[in-house]
Amino acid sequence: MSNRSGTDHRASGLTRRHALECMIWAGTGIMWTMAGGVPKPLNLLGEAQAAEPGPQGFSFLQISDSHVGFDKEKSVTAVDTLQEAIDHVKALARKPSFMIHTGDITHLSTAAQFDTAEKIIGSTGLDVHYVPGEHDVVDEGQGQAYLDRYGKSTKGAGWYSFDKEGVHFIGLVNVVNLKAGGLGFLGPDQLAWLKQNLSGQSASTPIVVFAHIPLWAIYPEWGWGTDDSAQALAMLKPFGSVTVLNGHIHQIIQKVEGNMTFHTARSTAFPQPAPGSAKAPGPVIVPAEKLRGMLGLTSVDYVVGKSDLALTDSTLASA
Amino acid sequence: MSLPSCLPRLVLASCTVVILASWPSLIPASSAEPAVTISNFAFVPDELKVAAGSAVTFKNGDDTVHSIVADDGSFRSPALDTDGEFSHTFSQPGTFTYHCGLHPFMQGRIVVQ
Repeated sequence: MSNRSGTDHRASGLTRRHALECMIWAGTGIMWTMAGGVPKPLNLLGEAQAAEPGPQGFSFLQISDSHVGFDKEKSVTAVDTLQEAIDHVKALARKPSFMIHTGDITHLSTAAQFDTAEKIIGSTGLDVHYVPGEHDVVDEGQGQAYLDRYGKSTKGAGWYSFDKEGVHFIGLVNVVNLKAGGLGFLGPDQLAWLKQNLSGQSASTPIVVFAHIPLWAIYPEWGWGTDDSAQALAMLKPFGSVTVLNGHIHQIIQKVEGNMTFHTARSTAFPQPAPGSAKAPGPVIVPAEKLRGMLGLTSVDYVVGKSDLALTDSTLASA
Repeated sequence: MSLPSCLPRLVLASCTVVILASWPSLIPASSAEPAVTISNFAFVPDELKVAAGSAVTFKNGDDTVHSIVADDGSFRSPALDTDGEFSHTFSQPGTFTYHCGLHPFMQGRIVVQ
């Protein structure tokens, strides 16, 4: 794994027509700028705002791990920090076209928590494309509460795809039917659907895949990976530009492998320890004044005709 | 793990005693209500021996949500937030393996005698 920042080093030799710029805030979200299928992180929201998407293209925002209902830090709850993150979104000079939420919208999948999240996130007026986290499927119906709200036009446990100005987006679900001793799990039905879904795309189509649990093995000892993601990644390999956006681990980790860029977003609720740096991956409870520096959002810009791709991460504190 | 053959027999014997004493699964459950605590994303003890008919209580001592799911699907707790408890009665003898529904790398077993 490698953390990358600044101008993308692979982009200059690429001839891809499309560019994606992704902006991701951490804690509230992360800002990504992607061009030609390669993400480039910009570390401050200010930089992200400065990144122009070009005459053609669009930007979108990634938000993750809101955990509405989490209140272990009493002075600043997950609702408070989600509200702050959304306030930042609303204050952006350049509006994103839409948002994606990479799961753990709620902490306990209750109707009240889903309602609160919807009210806060919905206040942006933006379309939001969701995938569930494991905290969103712990209702009695094991995911039915999520599907009742966000499952329209999706398959199975909530997977789907959509297209935006030549970019193909795929939302995957890897938090249901988890196996004893296992990690995240896509399952044969979803993999079969993915194969079919991709068969209609040309290799030059930029692909953005988003799912809650990382689709690459970040730290399997803590469950930070997906058992059968190798099959999905093999299907994505022929494509010239693949960007994989995940949440779950509440911190930014990036990797570039061939034409694939992997990135995890910060949470808007609470940080988690770096892989292996603690006894367990539980929430890191930090004082309110430190918390905002560990939370964020991500924004992604797609630029037609640019050959590199940039990513921006920033925190609530820096925003 | 293999121990060096030169290790004195006495030391080896005392090591064995220490290992036995610190191995919860080898100590018969003596309390009236056998319990498993979740701590740092682990079930403690990870193996618990109980008599048939015992109700085992699972308590979440972590700052995040966990659940108890039988590997064979025979029982499943609701989501347990911090200090949340779940009880299940094991009527039949046998070994019952379970995992956390949110973090399936967390595994444990109840041995019903």
